[in-house]
Amino acid sequence: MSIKMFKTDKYKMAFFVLICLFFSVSFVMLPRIAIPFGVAYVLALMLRPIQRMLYSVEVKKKFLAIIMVVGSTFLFSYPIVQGVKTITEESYKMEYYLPKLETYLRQKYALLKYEVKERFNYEIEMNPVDKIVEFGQENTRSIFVFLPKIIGSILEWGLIIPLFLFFILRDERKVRFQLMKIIPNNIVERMYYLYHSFNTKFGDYIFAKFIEATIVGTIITTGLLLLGYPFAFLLGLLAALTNILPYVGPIFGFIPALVIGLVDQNPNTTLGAMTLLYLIANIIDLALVFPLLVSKIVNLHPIIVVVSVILGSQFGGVVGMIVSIPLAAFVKLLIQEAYIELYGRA
Amino acid sequence: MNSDEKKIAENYLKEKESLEQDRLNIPMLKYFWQASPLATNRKKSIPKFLRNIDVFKHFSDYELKTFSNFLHNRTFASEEIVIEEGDAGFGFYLIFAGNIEVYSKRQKVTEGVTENYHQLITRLSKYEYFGELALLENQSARNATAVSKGTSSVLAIYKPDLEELIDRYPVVGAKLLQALSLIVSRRFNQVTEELKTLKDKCSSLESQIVDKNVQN
Repeated sequence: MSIKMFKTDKYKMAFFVLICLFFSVSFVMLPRIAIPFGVAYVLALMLRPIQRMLYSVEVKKKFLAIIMVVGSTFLFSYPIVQGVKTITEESYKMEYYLPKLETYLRQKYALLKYEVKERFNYEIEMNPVDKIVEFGQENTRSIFVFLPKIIGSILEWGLIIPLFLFFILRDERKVRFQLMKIIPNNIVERMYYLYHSFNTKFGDYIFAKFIEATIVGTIITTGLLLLGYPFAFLLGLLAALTNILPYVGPIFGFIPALVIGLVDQNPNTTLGAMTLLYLIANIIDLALVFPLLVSKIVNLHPIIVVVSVILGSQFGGVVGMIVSIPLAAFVKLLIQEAYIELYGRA
Repeated sequence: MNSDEKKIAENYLKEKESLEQDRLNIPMLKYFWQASPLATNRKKSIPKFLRNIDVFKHFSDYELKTFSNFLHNRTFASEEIVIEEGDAGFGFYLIFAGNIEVYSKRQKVTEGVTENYHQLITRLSKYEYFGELALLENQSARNATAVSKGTSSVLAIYKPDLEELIDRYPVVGAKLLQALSLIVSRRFNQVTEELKTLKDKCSSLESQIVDKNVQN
């Protein structure tokens, strides 16, 4: 017996595609809404494990959303407020260090030039030190030019993000159920599966990375404070931020500490101990934190990880680097689904 | 009783009667309100529908109401595929209205040419269900195709909804898993019975062949 089957109504599919396009275009065209909404959405995904935990103690959804918004606002703003004070002080100190760094670089470069001339009788004509100093000055200037704009955006986000976060936490399921109604029948299961996988991978990855960066940053800051190393908070924050980048991140985080150690002639600055501290922090990260928290979430080849981070940095800067890995994992899932659709389940 | 007292009593009874006539008959109104087809909304009708499914009989009214909030109501046109054999399964379906036919892909070889066709396995109607394994297995492939016969409406629960139900309402989640286990065990018993029948048929055929060989 054979049966006549048809897949779905073309009009429903066209309407669904149009809605998707409308939301995608709106997202790109309205960055002032899209960015805080994106941040709130990622925060909501990050808060999911805590949300599940609070459900088990039977907290009502509305109160849960309020608790989580207030809690996360406090959690993120308290260290910023406290940290800004320390980091500002350290940044002021950095002003005195920069000329010191310039002198150090010039001295080392002159020495190198002299040795090359002595040994190989070759005159180096390039002057990279001037270029480095010029590059540094230009970038510092541009930061100050854009600073009011950045502060304005942060203040605006500070008001909008908690608002978005509250409504996402409270009404996400209602909106999801309504949106499900417009998805054509033949793709509804697959679309829901992809949406769920994307949310799970993205949320879990960002949450795990946040925990990992906090652990590394705390170890480095505490260790540097105990060693009496200068700029402990700034270097700890930098180590935490660069830790988000896989493979090369820890090296980027270590370079500023090494430069400060080399420039600073202070006998308290223990270069060997500092190197050992960075090594221990990264060993703890690689041997304990990463395998337990992050590696299970994204199962990607190292080459794909590196390429996706490079592409992420090219298109979206630091945010692009952070989101590139879960996005790559999601693209892998999409390719797998497309493969199954075209060639069948192997 | 004197005439005055009688008058007072009569007046009182008259007043009481008129008061009762003027008063709104709430139970009657309530009955008509509930009997009206316009008053039946989705929220009320889905728990009522679930109550008629035997695997959910151990759910309380409140639990059925909670469970109904996690169901997606989807409408299928006639001959439209609900689930397709070989696709990754993600949802469990309860037939809310209409009929669903379940087919299995088969192959037959006629004169050296292989032909694919669909064989009807069963017809399902209101209060019946299919696709339960998708909630228990991870990315399981569907082992049959379900096609809507006439316009039908199904209630679907997908894996993320089940996870959310377990997180938010563990008791309801556990009861749903219990219901799913019951469905699976019934299917297993059914398969075992069919297997027994097939084995009996096979052994009788074998004995017939042996008898024929002996006679020859």
